[in-house]
Amino acid sequence: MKRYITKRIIQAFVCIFVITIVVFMLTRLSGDPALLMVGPEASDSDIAVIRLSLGLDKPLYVQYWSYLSKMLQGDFGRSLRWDVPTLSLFGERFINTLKLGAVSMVFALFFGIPVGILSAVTVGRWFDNFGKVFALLGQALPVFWLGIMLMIVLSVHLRWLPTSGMGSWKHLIMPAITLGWYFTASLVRVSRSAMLDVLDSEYIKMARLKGVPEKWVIMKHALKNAMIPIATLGALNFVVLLNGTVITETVFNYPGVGKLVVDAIFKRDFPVVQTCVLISSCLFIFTNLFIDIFYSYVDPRIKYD
Amino acid sequence: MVNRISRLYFWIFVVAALGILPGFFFSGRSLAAQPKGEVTFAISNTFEMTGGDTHTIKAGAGAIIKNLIYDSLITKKPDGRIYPALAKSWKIAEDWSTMKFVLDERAKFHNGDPVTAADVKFSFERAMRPELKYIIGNELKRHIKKVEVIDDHNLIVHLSEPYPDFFDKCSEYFGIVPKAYINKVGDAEFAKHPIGAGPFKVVNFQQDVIFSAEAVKDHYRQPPHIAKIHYKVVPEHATRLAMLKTGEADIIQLYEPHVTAIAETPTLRIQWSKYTMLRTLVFFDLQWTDKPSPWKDIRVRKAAAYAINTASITKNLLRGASEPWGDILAPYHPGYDSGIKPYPYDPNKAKALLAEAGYSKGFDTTLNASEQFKVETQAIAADLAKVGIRAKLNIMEHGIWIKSTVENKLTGLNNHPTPYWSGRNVVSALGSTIDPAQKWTVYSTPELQALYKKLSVASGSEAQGLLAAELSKKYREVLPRVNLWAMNIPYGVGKRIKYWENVSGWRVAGCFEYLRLND
Repeated sequence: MKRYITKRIIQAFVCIFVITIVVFMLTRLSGDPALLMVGPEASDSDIAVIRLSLGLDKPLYVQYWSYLSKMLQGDFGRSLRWDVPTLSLFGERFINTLKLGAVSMVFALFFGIPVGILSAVTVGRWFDNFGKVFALLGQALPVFWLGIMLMIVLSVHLRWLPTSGMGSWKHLIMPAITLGWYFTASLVRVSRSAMLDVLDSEYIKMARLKGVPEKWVIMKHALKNAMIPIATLGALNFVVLLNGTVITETVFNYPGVGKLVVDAIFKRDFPVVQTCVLISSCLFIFTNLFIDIFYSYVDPRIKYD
Repeated sequence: MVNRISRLYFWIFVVAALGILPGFFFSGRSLAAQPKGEVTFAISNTFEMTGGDTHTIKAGAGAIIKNLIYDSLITKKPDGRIYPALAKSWKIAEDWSTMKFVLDERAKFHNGDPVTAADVKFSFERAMRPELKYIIGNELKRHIKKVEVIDDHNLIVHLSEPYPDFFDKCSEYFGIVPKAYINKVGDAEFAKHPIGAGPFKVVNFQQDVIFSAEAVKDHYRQPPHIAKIHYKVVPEHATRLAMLKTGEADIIQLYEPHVTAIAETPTLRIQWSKYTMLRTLVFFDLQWTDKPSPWKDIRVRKAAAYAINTASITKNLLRGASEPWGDILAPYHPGYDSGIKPYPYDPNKAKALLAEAGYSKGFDTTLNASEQFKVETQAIAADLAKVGIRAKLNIMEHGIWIKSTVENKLTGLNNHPTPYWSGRNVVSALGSTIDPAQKWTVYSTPELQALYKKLSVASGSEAQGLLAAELSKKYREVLPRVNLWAMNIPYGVGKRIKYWENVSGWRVAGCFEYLRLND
């Protein structure tokens, strides 16, 4: 097991190193930030001065080495537009994204798991059909459409909620539903199928034969075993959710990481893009690793070579 | 009896004096006219500056913050004309060797320090520092030799070359900053806690999310009518519209297709910032002397002009946010002639011209554009196809399109955003179309350049008007581009706003010190 963990950690760092190269190259292929910083009356010398001050006149390998060596010392660079450390910028926005992600996850867990379980328990009946349609809509409806529709109905017409921004718990409701519905849908499906698998197993049949009340059969015996895949999906979903907030944050003008990175891409703010993508990738890689290790502790039957 | 009357008159005098005297102690505005109310303005562009430091404006909407917080030597009002601000008067040498400014003694920074010539000199020198990457930093460095302080309120700017753009750039971008304060706190702290001499002062801000400012009640030039203003950066068009409809925003930058949504809502109205730029169809192939191209024949270029139905595109796709245009000048430029009409839509004439030029079967070309102008570019391609010009669309992400355009990597046609009028003087406005030193010019002839050079040193509106008119005529004869439409920027305005008008032609919003709310 120790050997497995060590191997996975080394693989993770190799992966991160490759990501730094890929992101570095792709951002530089996308265009020249100096051109976006000057007006239409700019001359060649105006553009050259900007490029020089940004360090973009140096060869790519020199730029990459400078970036990598500074990053290893904790300096992720400064935003080309705002001249502030990218790490602090990411930190500020990440807290906002974390809040949104957490509320969306709570929404997903509180709706997704019970709906999935109830669907499995009432299989073939009206609630099961409702659960399936709910899941289908969640995975089929485009996020931007859902967000704008919620805004039109709940804000513009009913005036129940603010349209956008952040400031109070009311600002989180629509973005959380918009972001969370997709993950709720996947949790419904996984919960339903995990529960159906477990309900069909021998020990559950034995419990029923012994006369255990159905409520206890489901809540005490079936649920625990059904939770393993649900927990795995939930943890992974949370990380995916944190990385997938771009559209929601843009529609609701929520100042999170998604909006920051998209804006940085359009404005060719390379250091911000590099920092956001790198940290998000690290989160994903290490969460994945943690889940794999956690899995093996939770279920002793699982062994890694 | 006489004593009683005298005493009566005495007491009448005292009572009257007590009533009148307080009025002498209230300079400017009465108590009833104190700034009141808060306004929220939602825009799509980010500010692109470090904190609130005016000398770090790169692009985007940073000029909005500059016009709120900082005063410049001069200012512009909604009529687009130049007015005194920190400089109460100025004199430009005929040969453009110097500009002399006399400062307004009443002007103060938000921390109470007076604005002096030393602050102005410091501001010029600071703006030219390359590490600040200021949008006009290099331009100032090119034109200004040195700044000489005569005394606290007099200074001379010595120029190395004529700088007719100066006043436009000044009003839009160049704010005067406090030397003593910046020397004390440093650049980083100044960006977090900026101080200017403008009609508003910073309350708080979050980088590119929100910027809040409050009125400077005793502002020397123009105390605002509103107490507070909040700028929110809201990139999504539908969200801005929703904010306006719910009252969360009082003024928004409007997406052109949403013009009809505003027109249908009785409590909302549109305020136009008119004649911000002229969209043109550029013939990229003209610059390649060694490569043959159908576009080198003026008959083919005229055919394109006749083929495009600009009236229909501006009405149906752009919802009236633009208008077909004939001249290369805006109405606020000297020499502008409203009698110069755009090419009429005449596909038969276009076909005849193509046949005359030997392209009766048409030809293939490429039509390049930024994704921001995808819809109208598709319409242009469709119109050209009807007369036989088969234009393959090359719609690019905006940053890629800018790079390709500026680096001259394109062929065929380009849907181009210049002349970049932006309320600027005629020399500045035409530079990005005629001056080969400017990257957006693409193609220009020696005759056009010669006329432009004369224009850039002409002084006086009359002389400029004659030269501009001649340049415009020559431009139409050479036809290096087809004029498409003049762009107007729509702003959605909510019911609380009684009056707001932007500077004529400006692409960024300003003049908030004149904004009034309904009672």
